[in-house]
Amino acid sequence: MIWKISMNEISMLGLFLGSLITGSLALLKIKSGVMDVVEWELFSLMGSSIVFTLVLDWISLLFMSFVFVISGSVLSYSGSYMAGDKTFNRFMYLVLAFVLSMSFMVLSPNLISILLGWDGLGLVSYALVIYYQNEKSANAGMLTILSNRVGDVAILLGIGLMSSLGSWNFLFYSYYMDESWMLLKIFLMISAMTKSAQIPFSAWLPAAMAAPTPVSALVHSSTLVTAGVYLMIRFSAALEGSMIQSFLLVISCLTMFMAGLGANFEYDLKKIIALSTLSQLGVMLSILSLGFSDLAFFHLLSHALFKALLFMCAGIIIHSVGGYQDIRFMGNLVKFMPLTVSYMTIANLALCGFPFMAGFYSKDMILEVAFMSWINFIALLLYVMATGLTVMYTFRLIFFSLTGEYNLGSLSNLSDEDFLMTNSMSILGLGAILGGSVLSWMLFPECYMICLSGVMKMMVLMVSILGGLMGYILNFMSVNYLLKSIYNYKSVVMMGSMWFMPLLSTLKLSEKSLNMGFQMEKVADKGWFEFYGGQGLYYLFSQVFFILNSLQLNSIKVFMKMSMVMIIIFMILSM
Amino acid sequence: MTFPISYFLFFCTLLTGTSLSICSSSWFGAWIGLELNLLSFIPLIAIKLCPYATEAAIKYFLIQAMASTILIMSSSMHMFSNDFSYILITLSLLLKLGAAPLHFWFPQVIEGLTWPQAFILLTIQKLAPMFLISYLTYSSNLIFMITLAAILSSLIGALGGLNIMKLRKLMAFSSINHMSWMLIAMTINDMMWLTYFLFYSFISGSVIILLHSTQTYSISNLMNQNKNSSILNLLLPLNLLSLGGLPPFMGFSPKWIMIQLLSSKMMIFSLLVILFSSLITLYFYLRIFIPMILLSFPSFSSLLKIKSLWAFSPFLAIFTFINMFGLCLPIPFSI
Amino acid sequence: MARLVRLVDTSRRISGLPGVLISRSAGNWNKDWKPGPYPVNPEDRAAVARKYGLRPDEYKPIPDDGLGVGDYPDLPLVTAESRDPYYPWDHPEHRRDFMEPIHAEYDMYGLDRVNASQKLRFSVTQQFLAFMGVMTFFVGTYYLMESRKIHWPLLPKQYPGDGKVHYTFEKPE
Repeated sequence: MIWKISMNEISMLGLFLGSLITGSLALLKIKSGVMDVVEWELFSLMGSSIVFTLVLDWISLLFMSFVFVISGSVLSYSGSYMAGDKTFNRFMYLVLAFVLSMSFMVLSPNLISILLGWDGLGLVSYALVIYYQNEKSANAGMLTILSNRVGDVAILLGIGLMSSLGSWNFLFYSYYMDESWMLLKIFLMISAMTKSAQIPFSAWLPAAMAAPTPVSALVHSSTLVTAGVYLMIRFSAALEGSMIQSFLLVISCLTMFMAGLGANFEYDLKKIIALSTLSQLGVMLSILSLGFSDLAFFHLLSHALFKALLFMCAGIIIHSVGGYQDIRFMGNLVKFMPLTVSYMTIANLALCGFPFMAGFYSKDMILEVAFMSWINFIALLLYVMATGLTVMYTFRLIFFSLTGEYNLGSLSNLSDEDFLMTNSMSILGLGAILGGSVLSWMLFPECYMICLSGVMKMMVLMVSILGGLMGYILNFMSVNYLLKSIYNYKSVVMMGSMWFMPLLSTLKLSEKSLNMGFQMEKVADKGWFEFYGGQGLYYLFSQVFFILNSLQLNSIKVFMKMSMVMIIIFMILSM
Repeated sequence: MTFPISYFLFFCTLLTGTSLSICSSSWFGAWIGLELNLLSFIPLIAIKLCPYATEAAIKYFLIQAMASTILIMSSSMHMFSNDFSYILITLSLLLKLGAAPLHFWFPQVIEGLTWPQAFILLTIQKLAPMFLISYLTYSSNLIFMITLAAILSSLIGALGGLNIMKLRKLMAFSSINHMSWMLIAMTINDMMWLTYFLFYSFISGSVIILLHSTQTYSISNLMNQNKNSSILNLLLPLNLLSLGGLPPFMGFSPKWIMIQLLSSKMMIFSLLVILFSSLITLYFYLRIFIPMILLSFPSFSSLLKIKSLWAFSPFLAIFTFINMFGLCLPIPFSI
Repeated sequence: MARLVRLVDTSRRISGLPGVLISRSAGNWNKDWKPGPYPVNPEDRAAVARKYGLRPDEYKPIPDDGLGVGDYPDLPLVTAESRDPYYPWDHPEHRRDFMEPIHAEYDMYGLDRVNASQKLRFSVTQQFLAFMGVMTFFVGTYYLMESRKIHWPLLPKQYPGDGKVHYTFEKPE
């Protein structure tokens, strides 16, 4: 009974407890530097043992702790956000199933058992995207699951490749994989790219915003999409110095840039945040492919904190403005919902790396380390531009929706008196402010030595200030006759629509494959395959059967004679 | 089940004949054993004096007598023509066995039998000729002949049973098909065919018990089965699939061993033929039970006199259990 | 394709291999559904047009390319999605009237399938080329630059080694 009514509270308590336990274990692991690997032998069959392996080191435990704390907050938050929903319990169970498969994913160093969590993540996220049952959600869900399916298939192929090794513990084998394992590396990179929505597969992440906002906060911003990054972190030893690394760098930098560019043209509140997630994923993967997997993990964690917070704020706003997501309908929200708006501003500032917020520690370090390392000029350029664009769309979002004129309808009820929602944001709000510094003290007891020239050192700051100014200016933009962007309509459409990726990966792809399937069905399935396949064979066999059967229908004399004839034939044959 | 006491007598002599011919060191002794076996099987067939059984007994007697004649004749020709006589001996044994080009009598005879008699014909009666053939696999000529017979029986067993509606005939063709595996195994390894034979007798026994307990003799009978016996609906398909050699069931394991054996000996062609024709047999096993599962004519269900399945329940339980989990049989030994 | 089909068909006729006699279908099949032979002369055409409920001047058979469409009319392709959703259709879920002759590839153009009459502002080729162009530009220049990476000038690492002298420790002047 209690479970039914306040499932959100109970789950929150349990998850926070789990977070505490895993977090303190992670601290112990960091201190001792020990990695525990639990091998549970399910059974041993014909000399090959079937083992379920769990890895418990500081990376997995810390990640688990963050997943738990975010999912606890989100569950408590959805107690109010989803209140009154007909299938509230289903929602809760789905989110819990998500946490379960995330734990499977995080805790397994094994390519097969990681597939358990990996596939579970895909399935649960599909079920959550199509939670609101309408056509748009169904389409978005289909895009999501099919994009992710590509990665699942890549992992399956990787499992097939790794079977020659005798074990699937890629965590340990990755240290010994040279260029002859190129194919496996490519497969794992593809799977990471699909889960983390890197460029050819980016379209699903903004589409997945059809899910309820708590889901977006937990699944499509902070945890699920970082699964790809996590896989790459675990696999990073094998990426070291291979061609994959440089390819991943250019792809992730392009994703970062593309998403930042797209966010500036977007008017959908959730899609802006989704694109910023995409951009941050690009940041993580790019620093990873420069060889700093610990920095990528650092950014993954701090990003998870403030991005979940940002989405939860967006959820409150969407709730109170009456279901709108278009930021053109918002404005001057700061007067009505000061607490939410301050949370949102904190999260936004953390996102663009405002000094001493969570994002500052990770992002600034990433940028400076990237600038300091041997880096391709294009990658550097994309880094700088994407940093500017991040600040730009963040400021645009802040000023567009939170200040300015009040654009809502005359009948509206704005407040942030829903304490269930605002309270559950408080931990994450604290995390968005303090998370970065605490994490950096924890993870990097020795500082990174940064040695840059004055120009490069100031570059990030300059670009950010420039981006902030431009974002403020964009805030004034409204559709009118003087709008210059109408003259460059083509390029604006291209930049604003993620370089045409959503359309290319949905409409025409499905139409082409449907067309091909139709032709195949007409010519092959209902035609020649049937003629020379099932029906033809059956006809042939039946003919033979009738011949054979006709021998059976006759009298005893015939078959005795047949036996004699056969004996004679055989004799002649064998002579 | 009631049967006269003479049944025991004849059954004992039947087994004696089989063991006599297996153990004898001369062809004459083997012949005596086969004759004893034949003459004690005839009364077992004709235990009920109905015309079908009598007809089957006569057909069986004629063919087996002919085969025995050829056997005793060729064994006495052994003196002057070694090769020739062995070829004839093999042929006569193949005839006794009912292997492919000499299989004509087999479905005809089995048509007139009841299920227990059919089971004896399908398993015990094959034991002696099989053993005798397995003694003959020493010259390449004979091996060629046995392989040829195996390939032919696989094809004929598969294609001949394709459209048949009578279950006993169908079991005969499936037995011809299974015989091809045994014959092929015989050319490679003396133990292998016996393993296959044991598996086969076990699985066909489990199918036959089910069919006997419901007194089913044709596919249409199966469809008219009492729908309340869902246990039959469950068990028969599983046992038939096992007979067809579908992987999770026990019937797959002898085939698996054989596939490995044949491919390691590079006998790819014969393996291919046998495997493909086994696929066709799987098709007609599927055809037996798919109408039974999918179609039902409840109005006809009263037409059949059904013995209770539970009379056979211990057998059923054991057979089905082993059929289902036989593939896991080695696991307890490997841990 | 059509040529291939014809070739196989004639070769089958010449070699006299058996055709399929048994047709299997999950549902009921009616021989009236099978299209008749390709109409050649105008009278035939008029009769066929009547059969399909069309006016003789409307009727135009699909060219006989060997795919076995027979006398089926070559109807204009109007996909279900482009039809008026508010018109009182007899089958609103298919947007189709009763007895209305349907396109030969109707299964392809239902509401849940392809919308062939959709007009995009930019054609897919353009979109694809634009996407690929941008990607090629960036990736191409990236790989061109790959041999000349940027780094801040560093002295070689001064590790101790055999006969290496990094510092001479002279007295400062």
